[in-house]
Amino acid sequence: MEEVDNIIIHSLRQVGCDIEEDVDSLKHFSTELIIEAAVRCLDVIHPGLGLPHSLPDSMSARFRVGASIAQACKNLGYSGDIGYQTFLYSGETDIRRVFVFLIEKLPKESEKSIVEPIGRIGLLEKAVSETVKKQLTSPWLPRYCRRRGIRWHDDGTWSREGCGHHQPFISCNLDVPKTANSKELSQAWREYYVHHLPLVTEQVSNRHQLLPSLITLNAKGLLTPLQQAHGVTPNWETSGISQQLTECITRSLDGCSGAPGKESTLTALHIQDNDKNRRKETNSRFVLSEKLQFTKRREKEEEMQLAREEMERLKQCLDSLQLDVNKLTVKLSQITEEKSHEERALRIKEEEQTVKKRTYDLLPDADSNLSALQASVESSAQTLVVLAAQWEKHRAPLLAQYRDAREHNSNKASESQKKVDALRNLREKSRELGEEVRHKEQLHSQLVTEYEKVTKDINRSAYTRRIMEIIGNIAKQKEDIDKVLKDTKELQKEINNLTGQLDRSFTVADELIFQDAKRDETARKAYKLLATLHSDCSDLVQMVEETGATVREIRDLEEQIETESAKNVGANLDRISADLHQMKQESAALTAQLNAKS
Amino acid sequence: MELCVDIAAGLRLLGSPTAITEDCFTKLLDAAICAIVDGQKATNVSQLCNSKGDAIKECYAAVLSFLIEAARHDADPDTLSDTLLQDYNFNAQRSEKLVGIYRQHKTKLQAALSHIGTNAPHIIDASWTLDYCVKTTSLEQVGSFIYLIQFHTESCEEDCVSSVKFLCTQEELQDLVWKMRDAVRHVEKIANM
Amino acid sequence: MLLSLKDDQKQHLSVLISQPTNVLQDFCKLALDFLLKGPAPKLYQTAAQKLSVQPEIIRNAVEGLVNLIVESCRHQLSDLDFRDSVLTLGFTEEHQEILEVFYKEKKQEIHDALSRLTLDLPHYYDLEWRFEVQLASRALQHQVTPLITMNLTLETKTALASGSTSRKNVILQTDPTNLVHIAQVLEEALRDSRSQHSRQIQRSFK
Repeated sequence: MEEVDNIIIHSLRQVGCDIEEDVDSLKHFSTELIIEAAVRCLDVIHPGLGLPHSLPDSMSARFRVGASIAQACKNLGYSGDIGYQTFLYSGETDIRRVFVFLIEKLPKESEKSIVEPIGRIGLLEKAVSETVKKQLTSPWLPRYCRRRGIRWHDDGTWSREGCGHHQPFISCNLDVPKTANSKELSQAWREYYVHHLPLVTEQVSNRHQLLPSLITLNAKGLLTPLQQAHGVTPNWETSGISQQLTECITRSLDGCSGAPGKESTLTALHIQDNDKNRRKETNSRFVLSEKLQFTKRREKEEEMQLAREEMERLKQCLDSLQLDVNKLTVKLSQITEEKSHEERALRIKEEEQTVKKRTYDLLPDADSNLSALQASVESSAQTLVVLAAQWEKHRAPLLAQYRDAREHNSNKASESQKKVDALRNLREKSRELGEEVRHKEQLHSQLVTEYEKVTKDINRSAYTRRIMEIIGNIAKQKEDIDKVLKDTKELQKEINNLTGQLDRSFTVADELIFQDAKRDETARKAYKLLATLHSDCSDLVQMVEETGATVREIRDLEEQIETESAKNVGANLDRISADLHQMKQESAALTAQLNAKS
Repeated sequence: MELCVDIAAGLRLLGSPTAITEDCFTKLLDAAICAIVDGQKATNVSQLCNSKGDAIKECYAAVLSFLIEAARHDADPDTLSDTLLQDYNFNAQRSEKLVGIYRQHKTKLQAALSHIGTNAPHIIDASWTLDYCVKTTSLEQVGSFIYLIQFHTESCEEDCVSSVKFLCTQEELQDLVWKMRDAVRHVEKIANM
Repeated sequence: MLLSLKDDQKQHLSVLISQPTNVLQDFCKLALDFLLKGPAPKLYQTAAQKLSVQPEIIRNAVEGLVNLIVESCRHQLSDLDFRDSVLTLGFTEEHQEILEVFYKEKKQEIHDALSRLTLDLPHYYDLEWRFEVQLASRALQHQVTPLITMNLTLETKTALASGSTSRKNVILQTDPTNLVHIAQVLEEALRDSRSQHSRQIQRSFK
């Protein structure tokens, strides 16, 4: 018991009880101390109970405090018999049981915080255990209480409890307009994007396909450049594009058919289709009323036939005429071309003619004209040289300037490139730093909480040493008990053996003497004596057994007396009567007060 | 979280105040959240399409993709707002709005995503009957308890509840219960790890 | 209680009454083979040659013997009742002893087989479970979804011979909350079979 008491006192000191050094057993605990210790334990387990740490003077208030402590213990799940008397009029064993229970219930934060998970695996394990814990603590719900197989917790998180509404990952092609490089797009594409392409949410056939389709869209966008970089452009891609094209066309068909003025083959096809349908309709109508209006119809048909032939003829005529017109147009253009050609030739010839005419004019005074011509040629050559020199003079500085400017420009460009690079680096760095800071902050907060948890150090080694000692004691005791048991068993065996031997020898003797007794008088006497001897002996044995039983009973009773006295009923009774007396006095005083007031 | 070139372009377009007006931006966000969480078709977006239909459509696809990819990768709202500001030229106000919507609906988005996939039939309840078998065709006196156990399951293919039925003797049920209890104990151990 | 057999069954068995004990022992072996593997016409042929009777008679005798044992098991005759029944059929004391030994040996086995025979609904055979956590799916790449996956083995026994049992595996899964609930429900079921009410019913039918 001492070990247990030591542990209890040690724990109570840790909780904050002021227990004096020389107290080493629960026997020495005063009522005040018991109350204080119990209240402190309860405060640690359930903060905010608001029980007083010391006993009040008034008897009834004391009673109330005792009762509320007992109730708090019961609420914690104490299964034994507990009431105000346990604390106010304490028995050692009861109090010990209550304190063991309370100390077991003390929160063990310090132990938990030691194994705070670190690293990816640790965090994952923690997340798993938290999720499982949340799911285990939440009560079971029938199916109709969940929304699509998901239970929503109060804190906004969810957990999956069923899979009735799962849908497979089925995606379809989504088409998204690209406006970023719109200049490369043809006008038709742009038109299609603006007016005819449905929203992505309306491109899926089933709304369950929206999310998978969007995921696929992004994944595809991420992977296609990679594929092209590897030079893998499989055939399916082109076929995919053509397929996409046809899809787009069919999608826009509805829009197109209603829009007039668009002379596309598609609409033409569409109209033809409509015509066919219409013709079919008339045919069927014709069948319905055929007999009544047969002749009339016939005539009309003939008329129509004639008209049709006429039309055919006219059409042919028109065609031939058109052909003629075409031919003539071609001829006309040919002729116009010829004409322009001729005109050009004429103009060249006219120029030639003027040059020749001048030459002929100059011919009569040929020598002087020639020298003049030479002089003019020379002078023009000189001016050319001068001009060239001048040009060179102007050109050199300009060229130098240009070179300078170009160099300057390239310098600037490289500088700006460098700056851009630096900027990018800086941005990258800032992002990294931001992330690091966030991470560090997280770590810091985690460490702070950890630190707060850790500060309370407990004397583990003392506990373990004591526990080991207790285990050793128990083992020793067990050995002793085993030895005693073995002895008892051996004794029992011996007794059984002896009894059996006795029985056998008695029967043998009995039979022998009984046979003789019929004939011999002494034998008869001996038989009687044997019988009395046997019964006396068995009486004796019985007596011995009874004595043993009585001794056992005495021992039991003594033990009982001891336990009863441990509860120190006498002292408690005295205190109870004293308290009762005090209460009576208090109530008397109160009555007197009441009387005096009234 | 990575976005492909086209969607990134769309997101940049969404971020530029010249292309998308403030009012239009708000409407696009609301419509996108509605479409993912409630599965409703966005009618008000098609109304918006009257002018600059291509830009609206592109932005709509981009915001949908952005929200889904962020939820899918469990992205942190703060990192997202940094990315929006730096890589997609968002101004502080718009980025705050988009990230705010994401923050508010993150769990719902993830719940919607968790519906996609295949699973084994999921037990959601169990029921039983206890029969006392008195006599059968092949035995005059049986005298044993027979349990009929039924596991109610939900499976991916159909929306209704199906069930697994089987018989158990008392001993077999004891075995089953022990195994179940073993599993429960294991799970509890994990919870208290 | 005494077993009452039909007349032709009695007639089939009557062949055995006149045979010496070692022949009857052989017949017991044949009957056992019949139970385990079904009829074996070749053996009957050789037996018929030895005893110089028709194979048909041998077969009838074996089947009669099997019928006797199975019916006795069906009614769960005590050893004493079985002895009386055999004696009323006209067997001698020595014959009766051999049959009784045979009956005692095979009683439990046949009874088990008979009790299995009754229901062809799948029976619980085994359950294996494992705890797993779904960490990612294509649509949701960061998640922690604890699951318990179970392999429930069910067995359907249809006849006496051992080859005809068929086992079926059912793969199921559940989450911790439902697992706890199911375990509770089943435990409750198990407790119920030990309740006062169930015991009363059990007593009243005995």
